[in-house]
Amino acid sequence: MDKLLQKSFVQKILSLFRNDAFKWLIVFIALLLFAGVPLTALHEQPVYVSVLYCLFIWAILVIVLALVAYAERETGNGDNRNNDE
Amino acid sequence: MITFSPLTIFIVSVLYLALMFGVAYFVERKVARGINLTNHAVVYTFALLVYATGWSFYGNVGLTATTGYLFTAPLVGVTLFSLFWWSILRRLIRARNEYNITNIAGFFEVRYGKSEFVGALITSFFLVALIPYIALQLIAMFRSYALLTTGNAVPGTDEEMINLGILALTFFFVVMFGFRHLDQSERHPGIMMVVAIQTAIKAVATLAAGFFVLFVLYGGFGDFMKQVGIHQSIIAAVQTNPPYAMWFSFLIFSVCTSLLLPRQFHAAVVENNNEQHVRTAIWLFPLLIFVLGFPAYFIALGGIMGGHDVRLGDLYMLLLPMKNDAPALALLVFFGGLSASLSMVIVSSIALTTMTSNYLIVPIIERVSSFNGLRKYTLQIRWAVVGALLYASYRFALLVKGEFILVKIGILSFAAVFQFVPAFFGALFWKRGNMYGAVLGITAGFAAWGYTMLLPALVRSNWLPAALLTDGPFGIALLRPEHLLGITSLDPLTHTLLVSVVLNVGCYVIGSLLFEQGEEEKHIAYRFINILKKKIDFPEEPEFQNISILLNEKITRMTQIYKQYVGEEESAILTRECLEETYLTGKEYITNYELLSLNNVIEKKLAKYIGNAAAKESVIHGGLFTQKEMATFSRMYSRMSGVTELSPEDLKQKIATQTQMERMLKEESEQLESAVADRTKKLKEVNAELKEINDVAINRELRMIELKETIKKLESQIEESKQKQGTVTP
Repeated sequence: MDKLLQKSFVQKILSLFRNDAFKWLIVFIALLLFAGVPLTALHEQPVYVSVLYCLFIWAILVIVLALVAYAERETGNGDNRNNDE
Repeated sequence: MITFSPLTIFIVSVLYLALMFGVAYFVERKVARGINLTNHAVVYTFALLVYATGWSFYGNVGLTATTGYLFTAPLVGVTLFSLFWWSILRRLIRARNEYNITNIAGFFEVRYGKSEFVGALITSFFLVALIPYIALQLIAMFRSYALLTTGNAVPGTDEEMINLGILALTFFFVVMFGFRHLDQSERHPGIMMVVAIQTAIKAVATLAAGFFVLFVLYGGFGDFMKQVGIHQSIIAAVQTNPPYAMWFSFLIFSVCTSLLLPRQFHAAVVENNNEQHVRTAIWLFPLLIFVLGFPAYFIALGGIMGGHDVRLGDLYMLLLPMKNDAPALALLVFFGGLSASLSMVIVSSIALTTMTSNYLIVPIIERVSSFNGLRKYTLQIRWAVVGALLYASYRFALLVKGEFILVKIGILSFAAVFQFVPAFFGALFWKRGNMYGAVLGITAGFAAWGYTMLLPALVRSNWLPAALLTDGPFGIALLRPEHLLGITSLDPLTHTLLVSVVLNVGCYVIGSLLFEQGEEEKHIAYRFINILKKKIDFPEEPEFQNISILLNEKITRMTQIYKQYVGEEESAILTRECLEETYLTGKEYITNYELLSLNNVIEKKLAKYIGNAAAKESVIHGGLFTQKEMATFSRMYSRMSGVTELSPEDLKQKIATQTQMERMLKEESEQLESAVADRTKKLKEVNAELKEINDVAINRELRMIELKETIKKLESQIEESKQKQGTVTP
């Protein structure tokens, strides 16, 4: 029973990842985070530190994208989005 | 610093190209035997990395060295955009399947009413935007070659022959694997495999260069960052972050163009074998982009700390191994750069050549009767176009060598291609978007781009007077190209984005709302919007199902149409395929519906050679239909439009009307029921009255009968008593 509940919880999370509104939220948050890169200058951080911060956000974004792709794959089967709508 | 002899590099380059030829040839041979090695999600995704050109392979490092995080904008942009690929790419792939779209101009041409004008306009603008971009790749190849052989990044005049040799090899490669014969599908599995392998080489070379800087030149990440801290002042002197608005504008330009660039459209849509491959591309593509991008940070800082001239930042990746005695890595990087540039040049040449041939040359051949004889030389024309494209790019590369415009070419091209974006998304998601809107929007966008971005670049290259920028044309300050209408607070890139978006989107929307779509455009627009839904079939009405058309006559016409463009043998094959695909082989007579299906297949197959609009024209002029048949098809389209044009709003309205009618009917029925009940009641009352009257009448009759009987009895009694009295008295 626990396993079943756990599975349905994971499915719910994955379904969230493939939701279009959630994808737009990811875009919005990512752009917001990147906006912070030039702002590091306000804290007297050198440019190379800000670029490193930028690379870090980018790496996280790639991981999030992998999760979205996984969600599309796992929860998409049998869904009408795979076939003719 | 180590250098290589030109002969060594030339021989190794030829060997590399021979290897790529071998790969392409092997893959094409396999395809001919029915085994498609490129039909794999990983190969598809690696081929998509044709996005990362020689400009980004070398240029990312140069950008990082001077403008900090700006280099991440196009890379992060496509990463974010890939979130929506499952929806957008699938639409494009299905549109390609349904309408035989073989290039990005074909997409616009088909969607906007199969208009030749749209195809020609889009192709012309793409040529303006992309010939300089191809030139940039050639420059990257020539500069890396010059650096590797002489230690100097500026190619000398004696290298011109070598450069022309590289160009000739590229031409040979494109013709050999792109246009060896006229291919219906415009797919090139051999080339796609080569591009995928070249992506792997690019990735390995970039990672190796990053690893070299981190672990060979410095003692790992910790030591590297420590050294960066020590050299902080040197780095700070050359590296600055641009404002966020500029980064964002660069991102927007690159996001939108990542599917619109002809080479990207070709790799992602035309060469796609299975739409499920997109699922893999969604995560693998951003990962590969990251792998190709992040080492630039370490290489750039390594170059600055090594005391190398920051103006050579673009070539740090090659310069660092050469300065530090790593010849094998230098060669690997050279081939990485060569792969990046070559794959872009090859795929772009294929896409642009098909577009130029279909939308600029074929229409002229069709319209000018003295050129009609050239129809059979479509293949040779394409070879000439490839040669012309590459040579024009080469001449442009020589022209801008050392000029300011050189560093701007990449972003100039991106911003130019961005002008197709409103019409592109409108084509996919807005039913009312039409040809007039698209033409107006794209033209206005290009005008804005030319004025606010191209013109300043030409001024800074000293090709136009500087007063244009400082004082504006005719001294009108409000018209200064970089500060139009007095906008001074934006950087030039954001300024161009703002002006072009306002003009482009505005004209597209206004044009689409002011002008009406034609019947065919309406139908295509409906299909594009609903491309993920099932197709609605033609109405099955007796008129369209009447078996009355002689097939043999149509076969003759069909073969004649094909013969104008391909050989006799090929046209016979095409004719047979058309009949097989429409299940008409062996039939003597066909219906109107079957003729229309046959026409669609004929057009579809011809479109692969000459584009959709020209194919449509050619079939009409080829006399496939009689006047009567044309009139019937017109009615069929009208009927179809009636079926397909029901928008959700229309549907809601229809449902509401139906519900209202149902309610009225119900009310009427209730009223009728109550009227019937009233009448029944009255009838019952009348019936009861009648029954009463009837009863009275019957009773009276019965009484009368009784009375009559009584009278009879009494009379007989009287008679009897009279007789008794008579017998007693005598």
